[in-house]
Amino acid sequence: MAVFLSCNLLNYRRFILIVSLFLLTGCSTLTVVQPWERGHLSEPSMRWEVDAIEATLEDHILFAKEGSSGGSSAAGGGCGCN
Amino acid sequence: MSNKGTAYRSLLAAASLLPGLQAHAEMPYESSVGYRFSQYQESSVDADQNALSEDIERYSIDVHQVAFELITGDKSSINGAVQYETLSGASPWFVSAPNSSTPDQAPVVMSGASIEEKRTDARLRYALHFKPFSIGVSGGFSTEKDYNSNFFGADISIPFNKKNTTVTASFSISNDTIEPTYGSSGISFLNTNNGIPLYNDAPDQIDQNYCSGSDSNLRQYCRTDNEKQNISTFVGLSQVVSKTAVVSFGISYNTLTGYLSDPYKLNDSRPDDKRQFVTSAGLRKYLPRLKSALHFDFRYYNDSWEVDSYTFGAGWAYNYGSFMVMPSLRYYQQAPAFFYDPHIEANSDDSYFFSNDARLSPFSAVSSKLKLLYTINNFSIHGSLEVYASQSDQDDPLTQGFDNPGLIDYTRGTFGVDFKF
Repeated sequence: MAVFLSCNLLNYRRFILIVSLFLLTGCSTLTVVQPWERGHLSEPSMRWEVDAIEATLEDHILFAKEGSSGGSSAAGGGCGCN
Repeated sequence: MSNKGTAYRSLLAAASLLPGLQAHAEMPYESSVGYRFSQYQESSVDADQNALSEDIERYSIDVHQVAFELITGDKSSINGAVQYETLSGASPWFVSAPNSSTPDQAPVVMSGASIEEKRTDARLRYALHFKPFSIGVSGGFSTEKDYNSNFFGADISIPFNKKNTTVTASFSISNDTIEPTYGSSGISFLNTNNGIPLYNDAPDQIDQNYCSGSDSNLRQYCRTDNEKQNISTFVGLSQVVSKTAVVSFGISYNTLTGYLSDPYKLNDSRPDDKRQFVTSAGLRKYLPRLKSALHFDFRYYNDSWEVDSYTFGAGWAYNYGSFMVMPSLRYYQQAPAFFYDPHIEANSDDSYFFSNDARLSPFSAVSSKLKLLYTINNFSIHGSLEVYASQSDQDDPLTQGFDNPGLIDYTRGTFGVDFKF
């Protein structure tokens, strides 16, 4: 267990390092997109979830039918789904 | 209103809708309510894969969902959802050892096909939106005949860099209570080496047999908890990278403790704690010439049960007038839990942790979906069809060369409407 946790912590530290480097280097060199330039970004087809209600159900089904879940928010409550 | 102003307001509908929160990280500019009906149907278990040698129907589920988001003040909003499910059908109880007539197939034994269940899930989130950040508190419950869950959560999102970058963090804690009402198999399996019971009994029977009995040898295995807790944390980042592209990253860490076995499966005995690590990334790229948006998603999952999974998603959302058509694909692959065993050898189990739950087996799955969206005035009509197919990974040594017949294939259809005001 200790080995497992230390390996995962290493992986996560590496991930956090990559994200941090992205923030420090990538974001700082990106062109700032002004609000009036974001017409395409505001298209419904550009949403993270085109249908947030349906996405809730999809997450729920996969939570019940696969061995892994989560990753897009804090988990919330569970269910006795089989 | 000027074009700049319109674009600025409409931006809130997309760039500030953070993955997972399913609510606006900033003040919504309009209220909305939506309804969905879904029909979910699992494929039946073939006669040659189950012990009864006849096709057995698996779960069929009808789902009704209502969700809303309301502006309640200059700086406040409420969003919530109610989900009601009715289900019937059978689910895997255990995978038996192969018999002499079918040495290559370990047949599944299904629960009674008469399972009928209802589930209601409701959740509410109240958010306050200030200039530099938004905060939200949420709570909810899920209730079934034999299972109840309550959760509380909080979240914060902070946009900066002229709102090109948004960082969000969320936290939730849940408490689940399990009171199985069927499926108990009686105490028939004790570990032959160390006498530790494998929890094939309903928790109340475990309490009765191990905690209240006169046998001191059994009392040492008394287990009174039939609850579990989940503490979940998430940190995410959303970054506008150009006029047509936005990316996101997320990290979450969850701990589950308590009764994590499945009381409806024979001899299912799992560790009473699990730690989950999840990282995710996403990209949305708009192609103006094609009036389309490309969606790419990735997730890596790892937990202390050694379940390890990769998920890839890709979609293409094409806009045609008031219509949007979106075909998408999802690929999923997981490695098994360290205590997964492909089938039960009657009365000879000698491991403390044991499960032949297909969900803990090594497998891959492909899901394909087609979604249609039609928008007219303040209404939008939604329809989608999804087909999910899974396949056992026999190359993993834990399978011992056996498919798990409990793996599912399913189809799901969804239809609904949204109204904005």
